Amino acid sequence: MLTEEHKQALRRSWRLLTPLGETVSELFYRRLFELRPDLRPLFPSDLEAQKRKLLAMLAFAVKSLDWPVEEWEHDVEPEDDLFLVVLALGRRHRNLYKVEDEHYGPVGAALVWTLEQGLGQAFEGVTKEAWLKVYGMLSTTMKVASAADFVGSLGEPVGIAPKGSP
Amino acid sequence: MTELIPVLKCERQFVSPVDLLQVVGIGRQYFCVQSESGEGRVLGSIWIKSGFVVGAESEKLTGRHALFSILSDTSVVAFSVYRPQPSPTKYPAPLGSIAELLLEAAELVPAAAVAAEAGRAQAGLRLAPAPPPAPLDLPPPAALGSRSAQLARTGPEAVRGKIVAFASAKGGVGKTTLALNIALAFAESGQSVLLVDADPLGGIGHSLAGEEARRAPGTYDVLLGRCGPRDAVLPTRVPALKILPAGALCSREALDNLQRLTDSKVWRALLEPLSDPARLVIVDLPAGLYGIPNAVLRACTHAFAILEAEPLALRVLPQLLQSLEEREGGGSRTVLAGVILNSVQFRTGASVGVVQGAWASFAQGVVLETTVPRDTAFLDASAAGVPVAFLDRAKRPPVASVFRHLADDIAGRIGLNEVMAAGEPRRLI
Repeated sequence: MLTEEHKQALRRSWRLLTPLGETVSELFYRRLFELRPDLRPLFPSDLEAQKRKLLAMLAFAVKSLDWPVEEWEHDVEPEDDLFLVVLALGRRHRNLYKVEDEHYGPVGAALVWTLEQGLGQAFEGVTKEAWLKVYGMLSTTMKVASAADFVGSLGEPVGIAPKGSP
Repeated sequence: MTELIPVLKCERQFVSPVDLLQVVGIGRQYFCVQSESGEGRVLGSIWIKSGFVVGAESEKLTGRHALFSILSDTSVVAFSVYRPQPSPTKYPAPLGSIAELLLEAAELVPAAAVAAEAGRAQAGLRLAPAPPPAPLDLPPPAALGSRSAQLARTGPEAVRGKIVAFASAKGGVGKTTLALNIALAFAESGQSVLLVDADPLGGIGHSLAGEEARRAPGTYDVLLGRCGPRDAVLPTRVPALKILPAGALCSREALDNLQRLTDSKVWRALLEPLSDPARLVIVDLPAGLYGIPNAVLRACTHAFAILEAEPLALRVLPQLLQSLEEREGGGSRTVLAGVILNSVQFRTGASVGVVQGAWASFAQGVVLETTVPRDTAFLDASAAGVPVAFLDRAKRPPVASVFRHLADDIAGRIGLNEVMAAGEPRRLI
């Protein structure tokens, strides 16, 4: 779980990254395919939409994780719930995009590398820790989704995508 | 009547209860995690809301005891997650956050029970207290900058002289103007100076009349291997002052070479050979704290933060100072040598307020005694494309004398005289 300090660090670093959006997604995919050229065919040849999705998902995760603890009783809609959204994302990655558990390692490495490039010194210490935690939580959720037999109606997208994402 | 809407079902062999609780905890809806035996019998339920456990029950227990018994129950074969609908209007007080409870469970649940989890839960537990094990196969650092590693001659012995940076988190505070005028003041006092423009926008070149410094190859051409450093250094009218202009860097190149340009080792490999005990290097940085300015700053021996005497500047300065301090602590040799106040208007209350604020906020001695006043001569000098001292051939603008004092202050701060004078008196004739 994230501490207040982690949340603050995420918020701060995301604010710094937002203006670099395009560069960040560009660097991320470049780095990912440098690390694992064999993953390139899993993506469409035109990465533009993919880059926007990546940023939208990260923005959504940062926003969703950042809520004041005293508001724990407040409800959110299913399509705004990080757990449900990421579950659906994990399931899509498994069923539609044929992503394997072992792919989450290089993706995480590319993400960390990209954040290091984008944030420089600002990525050290608690910020890095926070992002590692976030990636750990998101990738575990996606892996759980791909290992699960869904018993419910939370099948294909069901509108479970971050609001405002393309 | 509360309805349970199924979310997922997963066999225990694929997911540990610890992993499962953690991932459910990133959601903010009301969730129920049930553990089941082989026959589909429910062995226990954990109720979760926004990362808190708000209730747990097993066959015989309730509350924390139930939670811990569910976590350590080895007869569980599967877990199901539901969304109870509608959510209660009022939740019971949480037993605790999932993170805290999992930590507690790790201590309380008997070692035997934990071991019986066949290592699954323990693997998951690593997620709770520490940063996640993060299956990141990060490349070794050497692979990231192998070329720069070859170029760099690191270690203190490689430093030949003083490399002084003028830095600011905020743009437009007068870094370039100060760097140029201070470099000239040093040169006029007989100190050999090299002024390096590390700002890709080429502030120094644009501050000087004539095409030479604007068009000539410079820092970025050297960094990208298009020319050697010595070929790019330009002489000036003052023999002791030489300038390495910024050169050319288009945005495409910046992107392609971002890794290299943001590597302080690469900058060190450029700057250190250009300095020596007899030659001071002054570096004009681009504004900002990260990326290129950060890398350049780390390659310098001393840094001065430029503070414009207006209220906003005072508010953003702490970020720069903090990042400089982190650098000092982080094995970097860059010393924050002081804060220089620029554009001070002694007739304006707000401006004087910033000066007083700066004096009050920083430990004694951090802010340099000499401040640079706002003066129309700077505007005229900028329009003419000359350092302020060269504005009028016949008569120096009075404000130009500030830089002599500033140069003296700076020399004292960075210990320049210790190297330069070596204890010898200077003969007048």
